[in-house]
Amino acid sequence: MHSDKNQIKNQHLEESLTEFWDLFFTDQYEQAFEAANRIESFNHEESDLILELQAKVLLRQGQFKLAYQTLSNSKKENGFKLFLDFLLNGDPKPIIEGVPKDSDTDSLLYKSQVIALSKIYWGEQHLESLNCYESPDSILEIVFNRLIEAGKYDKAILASLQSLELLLEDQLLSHDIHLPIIHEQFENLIKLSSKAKYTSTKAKLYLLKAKLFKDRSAAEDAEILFGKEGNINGLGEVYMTYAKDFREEDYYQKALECFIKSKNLIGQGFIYEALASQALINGEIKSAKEAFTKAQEYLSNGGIFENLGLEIQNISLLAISGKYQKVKESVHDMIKPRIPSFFIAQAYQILANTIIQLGEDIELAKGYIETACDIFKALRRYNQLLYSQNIYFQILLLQNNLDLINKTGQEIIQLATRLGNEEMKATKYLDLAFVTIRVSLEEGILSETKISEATEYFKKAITLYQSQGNLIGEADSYQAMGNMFTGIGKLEEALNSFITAKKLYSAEKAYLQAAITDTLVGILMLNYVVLNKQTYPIAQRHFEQALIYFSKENLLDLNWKAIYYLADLNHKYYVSNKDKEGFELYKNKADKYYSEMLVAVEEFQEDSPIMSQGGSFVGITIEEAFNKAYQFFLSIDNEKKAQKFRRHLN
Amino acid sequence: MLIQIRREIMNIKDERNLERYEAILNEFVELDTLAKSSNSAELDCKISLKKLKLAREFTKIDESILDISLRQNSSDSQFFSEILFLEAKRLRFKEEAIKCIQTRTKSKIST
Repeated sequence: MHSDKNQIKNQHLEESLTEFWDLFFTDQYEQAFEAANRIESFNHEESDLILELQAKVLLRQGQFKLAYQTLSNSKKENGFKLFLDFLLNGDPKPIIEGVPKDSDTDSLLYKSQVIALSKIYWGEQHLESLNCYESPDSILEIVFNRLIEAGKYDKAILASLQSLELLLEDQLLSHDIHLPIIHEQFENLIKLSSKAKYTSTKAKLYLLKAKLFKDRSAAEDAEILFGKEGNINGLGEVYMTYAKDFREEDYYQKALECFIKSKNLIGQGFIYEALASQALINGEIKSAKEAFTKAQEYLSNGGIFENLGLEIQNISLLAISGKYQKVKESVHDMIKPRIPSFFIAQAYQILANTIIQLGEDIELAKGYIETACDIFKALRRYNQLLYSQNIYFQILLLQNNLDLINKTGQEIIQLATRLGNEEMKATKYLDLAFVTIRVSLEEGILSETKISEATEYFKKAITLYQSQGNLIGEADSYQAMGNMFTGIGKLEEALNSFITAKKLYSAEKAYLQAAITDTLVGILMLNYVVLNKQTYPIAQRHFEQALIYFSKENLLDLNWKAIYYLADLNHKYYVSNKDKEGFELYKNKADKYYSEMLVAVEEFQEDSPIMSQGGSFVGITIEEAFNKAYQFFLSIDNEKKAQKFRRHLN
Repeated sequence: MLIQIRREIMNIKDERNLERYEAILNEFVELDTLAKSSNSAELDCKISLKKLKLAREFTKIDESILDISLRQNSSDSQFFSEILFLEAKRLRFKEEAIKCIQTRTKSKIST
């Protein structure tokens, strides 16, 4: 009688579990959670199992803390609990020590992931300091073999996939060696997936293949397969891949709709994060902030990696908005024990840039960026290393050690070649052009030969960018060329270069760069050309266009500077024509802009008190701007207004 | 700087490292032979998983070589010949890796 009852009970449990896994493997999170809820429990083990299943769903949805809380009610200690603990706190020690070699398959799988993630984010030395010399690949091999023996094909394939996914982050420099083998592994897994229970498993294979090999047709295959099984979340992943990996941004909206339907919070968060990055690249700071706030809303329930990723994006936003003091505070707040070195390196990279912007100690900035380079090198994050090395190079350009500049430039070109990064090579051509001119100027002989040598470098960069279809790079080259021509007094060539740059930036909707080019055109007119009826309106128009953008995007640093330039322009124009009729208008304009500048500077100082004390390394300083304003008001006998600037100067 | 780079080259050329470098290559070729006689997807997957593991081990040594060659900025001919010697090993592994892809017709999914 009892055994009959038990048999029925076991059969019922098995059916309920099958229902759960069917929903879980096809990413139907809400329904899977409900299915777990419906399982009847008659003892502790069964109650613990229900909690574990619920926690697994919550983790997939991006509710890391809730998953951990749910599991904390379970008495069962296993790898999953320790894995969650790692994702939240970043400490690999408990799972490394708490899961021996003979543990259950799931626990071993989680352990291999923790080791792999630790290697990627903290580096091998960190694991060695914990006496962990185990290879995640060896653990995965054991897990894979066990799962195959047990006929659990879906799990075996997904375990392999997770390991391949981590390759997206790792060892980019050796991709030439890895890719053929990964390709073979994909083909074998696809063959094996004919034995998998769920079509979604096969679809996930195709999707990762699409991401790794930039193969859009594989993503299309995934879309068909997910569609066949009605896997809305899977479709969301495909649309996100179209948007992110294949730059078809219109798909973000479709992906978002899918993630909302499938209640995937982390997916929604990643979309907003990608949108924020995209907006930042386009210079749409307000949109970036809006998207970032949304990303925070969804990703703050995630783990340590999601939260630190958000923090880095937040610091980047602060830096681009000119809130340099807050950048410094945030970076120092972030650097704590246990923080993965990868994020520390990213933070140092931003900090080094900030120090340069603040005009502080260059050696200090160099120290931070060298540390960032060392970290990226140790972590084998070569793409990031390339960008850090480039910042280091830019810092070197501010000093005069030309041997070191050349040596570092060569290293960057070689690394860029290894990584197939043609754009970075192009930027080095730009820098070589810059260095060529600078060396000649320092030697006191700027010959036509040197100018044409530098121009050749610019052309090489432009050709490289054109072959890549990179309009922004092309625009950057023209802008840099404009700066060179400005510096050597070839004003017509400078103006033409700037105007070409502006056209290209505008075509690419790179509004921030376009506004900066406008400012450069204005400065060219203001400082190097005689202001007259033709040149004054050109300068005025360009400064005003830049100001509209800076003010709209609340870029406080650039905003006050653009207002200053407008004031200075009208001031100059008025002074050189003050005896002529009708020029009172420009006096009034200068008065108006200087007064507005005072308000804009006060607003800026509230955000970045340190920067306002130290002044800016690049462009005009507050002190210089206020001096000009003071002189202006004195010259028009407005002692009261002049004193306002005097007070600030003191 | 050059002395430091030379020291690093010597470390890589350390006998045990080079022995392992050769051993990985041999294991890799053996696995490939095994894969050719396999007719099960399960075994194929197990073999390619092992190959991936070997590739990762190989690239660990390999990247130290790359790291040095990235930093080289010298016209010293002996230095170059040492780099070339190590680079040749790297290319051989890459060749093996590429050779091992069995040509398969891309499985196309019908709707």
